[in-house]
Amino acid sequence: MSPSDVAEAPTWRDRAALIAEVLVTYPMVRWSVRRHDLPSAVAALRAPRRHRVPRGPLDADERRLAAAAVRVLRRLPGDSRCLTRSLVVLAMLARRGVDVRLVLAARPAPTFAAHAWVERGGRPLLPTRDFDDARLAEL
Amino acid sequence: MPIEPSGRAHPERLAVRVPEHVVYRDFAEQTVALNLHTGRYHGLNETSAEMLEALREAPTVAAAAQRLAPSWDVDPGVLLADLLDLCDGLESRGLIETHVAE
Repeated sequence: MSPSDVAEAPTWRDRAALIAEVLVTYPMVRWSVRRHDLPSAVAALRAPRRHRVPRGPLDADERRLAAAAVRVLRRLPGDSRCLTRSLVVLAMLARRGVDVRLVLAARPAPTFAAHAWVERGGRPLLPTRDFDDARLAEL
Repeated sequence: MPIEPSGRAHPERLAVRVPEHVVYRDFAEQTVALNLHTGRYHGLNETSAEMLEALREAPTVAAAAQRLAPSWDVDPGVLLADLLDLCDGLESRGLIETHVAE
């Protein structure tokens, strides 16, 4: 294993920056979903921003960044269900110039259940929870 | 154009389409519909799903009733009324749009 195979550990500054970004992005997502229908909310969250975020060690792997963002969201009061999580991750990655797809899935049995996650190039960045074969829409 | 007392076009002229913001998927147990504008999921049982399929494929609601009637062994008038009821329910949820067939 070469040193380049080892992911750089985020510093406390990187972690603090990520937490701050999630704290800013979460209300943006909630506001956007309340104000727009879902396709418009996704488009608004994808819209290019004037200020791009500085890249840190977590940006090297979108999946790692998504997992870190979800860990922060879990600690927040309020709605951090799969759709909100997915939209927060989508917005954060869009800010970094990374385009991801929002996947919406549902299955009617044994009891109705729905799920959402984001993918990049067909690779899930958040858990699909076995809903992969129950896709309804991709945005 | 003939107009029904309800204010909508006569079933011979009434057509149904699924808007772009609605997605349907058939599962073994039922059909799930998602309205992306409202973010709501809806479930259709097998009968409703078959009726919707006929409505989508037929040029008019009356034609859909004619298509379904032989295999369902039901009075065409009753079937047409049921199709119109289904149209009302789906349209009120934003899952279909009705228009006058050209």
